[in-house]
Amino acid sequence: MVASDENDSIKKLVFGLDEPIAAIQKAISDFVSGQRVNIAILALPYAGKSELVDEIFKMHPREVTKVTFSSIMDNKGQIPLLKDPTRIMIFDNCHYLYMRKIGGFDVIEEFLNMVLSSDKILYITTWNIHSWNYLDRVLDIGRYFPVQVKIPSLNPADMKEFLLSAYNENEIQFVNDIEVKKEKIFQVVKRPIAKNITRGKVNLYSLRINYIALQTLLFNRTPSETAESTIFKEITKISRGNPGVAKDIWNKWLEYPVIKTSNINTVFSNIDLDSTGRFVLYIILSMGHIKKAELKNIILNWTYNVDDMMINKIIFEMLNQDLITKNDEYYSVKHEKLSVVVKYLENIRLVW
Amino acid sequence: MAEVNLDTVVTGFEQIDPNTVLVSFVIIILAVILSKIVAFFLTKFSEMTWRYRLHFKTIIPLSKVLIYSLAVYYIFASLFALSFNQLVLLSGLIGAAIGIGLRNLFENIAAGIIIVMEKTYHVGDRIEMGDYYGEVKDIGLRATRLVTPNDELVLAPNNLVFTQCVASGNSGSSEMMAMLDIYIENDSDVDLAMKILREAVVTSRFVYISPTRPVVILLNDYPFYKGLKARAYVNDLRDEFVFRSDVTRRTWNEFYKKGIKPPKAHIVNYGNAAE
Repeated sequence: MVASDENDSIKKLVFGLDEPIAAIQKAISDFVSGQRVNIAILALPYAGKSELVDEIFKMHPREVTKVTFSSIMDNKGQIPLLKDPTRIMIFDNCHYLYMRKIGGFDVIEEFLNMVLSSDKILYITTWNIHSWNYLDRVLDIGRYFPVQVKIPSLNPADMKEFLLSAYNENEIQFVNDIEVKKEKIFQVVKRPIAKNITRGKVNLYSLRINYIALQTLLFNRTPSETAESTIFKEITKISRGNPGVAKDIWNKWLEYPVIKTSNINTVFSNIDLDSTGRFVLYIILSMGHIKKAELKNIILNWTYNVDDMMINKIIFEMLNQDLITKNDEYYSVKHEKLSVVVKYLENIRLVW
Repeated sequence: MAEVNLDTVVTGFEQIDPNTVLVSFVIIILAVILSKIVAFFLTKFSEMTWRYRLHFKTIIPLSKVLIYSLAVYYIFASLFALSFNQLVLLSGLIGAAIGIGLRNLFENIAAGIIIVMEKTYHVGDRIEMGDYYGEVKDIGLRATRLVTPNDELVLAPNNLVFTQCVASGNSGSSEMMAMLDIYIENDSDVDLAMKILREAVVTSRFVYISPTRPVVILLNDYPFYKGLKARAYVNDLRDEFVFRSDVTRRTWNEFYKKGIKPPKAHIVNYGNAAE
């Protein structure tokens, strides 16, 4: 049923990553011929940036050294200074090199200084796109990495190919178990009131909304659309074309070997957080994964009355609203809520 | 000819009965209620779409002008069934009324229409008009409602735009520039102080930075102390004062940790006097 990891990885690259790979390969060949242009790979969490650099690593195993940051570096000394660096250095998750607080840029400034000063090394770096956008405006880091590769969103066709790549042909059955009736979206409903007294002459009129029909109209779910098409369209929309998020949603909806349209769960979320909560949500989003202690370290600098109880309260609210998830010690935005959270933070302009 | 017309006009006005006057009042009240409802929903909707808040709020005064104009038109054209000549006469009467005693009222109304049409300022802007400073909550036909930083509601007559300069801090944008000054001892490490102040600004959750909205830190040299000035944009103009407070507090916390001190009080007074 499942192909080998290596094949899977190569297949993943086909889906929407052709252009990023071509841009990176060109930068590498330019570097070989004497022109150094450092690269920044930008993506949302789960979009596949780490898979992309893994693939680059596989293509140039002898020339490339890969360093992955998995938590926030709060000390300049934590930047690994390799005694014998290779010609191409990959630094994965560089957004862990800063904190949004006073004194939180020392590590990244040291790193950027290192990037500038080592002429004979090509730097390929990966960043959370929201952290990058912030740092680009604050530190102008775009100048340090002239080649910026954004991992594109997958369209429904690519998404279908990506999600089905792990299965044999016709292995998955798509079932349409929702019958969309042609009903009026708005209907005036008459309800008699005080029937016993007035003998049904006084009626209360109200407007009834047929939400299923409305949803059909809004999301272009035509009755003639196949179950397969509907499912991939919905997954692409909810995930905003993010393959990692889409895979997670797929796994939740799949009742192997069947996937039903009735399992489609469109995410409508009403986020209700105070100003501190919003900022904490932004920090979690821009870091991808973050520990509570790291979160506290950032927020402590920001507000004067932060204690464990306050952090716990904010985290509890976000867990309660099903916005974030805890994995080991790390908090991150829930896969299926990623697009909702990004939209919310874009709307209040915490995400630029 | 003119005498005949005048007779017709007078006859026309004589035909207006109490019932018509009553209906006219009802229409005016309905127009007021309708404009309030429209303003309420537009305000609600604008707050939901935070990003385009001020764009929606711009429509509020326009909708009011439209509703009131339609109401007045309906009253004159349908209820009173005034002819062109009668309307001309009415205009003359209104002109006389303006000249006699209602000049200020009509000046305010004219100014209100100019403010709406010319977009001198918008609902949601933070403006300084005459002696008043605050956020524009509503642009009425007669007066503009401002809420001052001390949460006082000020009704500033619209005709101030004819006689006073109006300064708008944001001019229709959600963000606005906020400036703050911090003074430090003369022998302080100014590079470190400027770095700390800059980091305090750019890490504030209230800040908004873009290529056209940069953060600028300036140093002023006074005889006995140094002054730092931060110029940055606050994401939501309603957070102007919270932003300043947040940056000032965090800057001083860090200054104290790094041994940067404020100048002595009497020296600061000297500087102010010198200015």
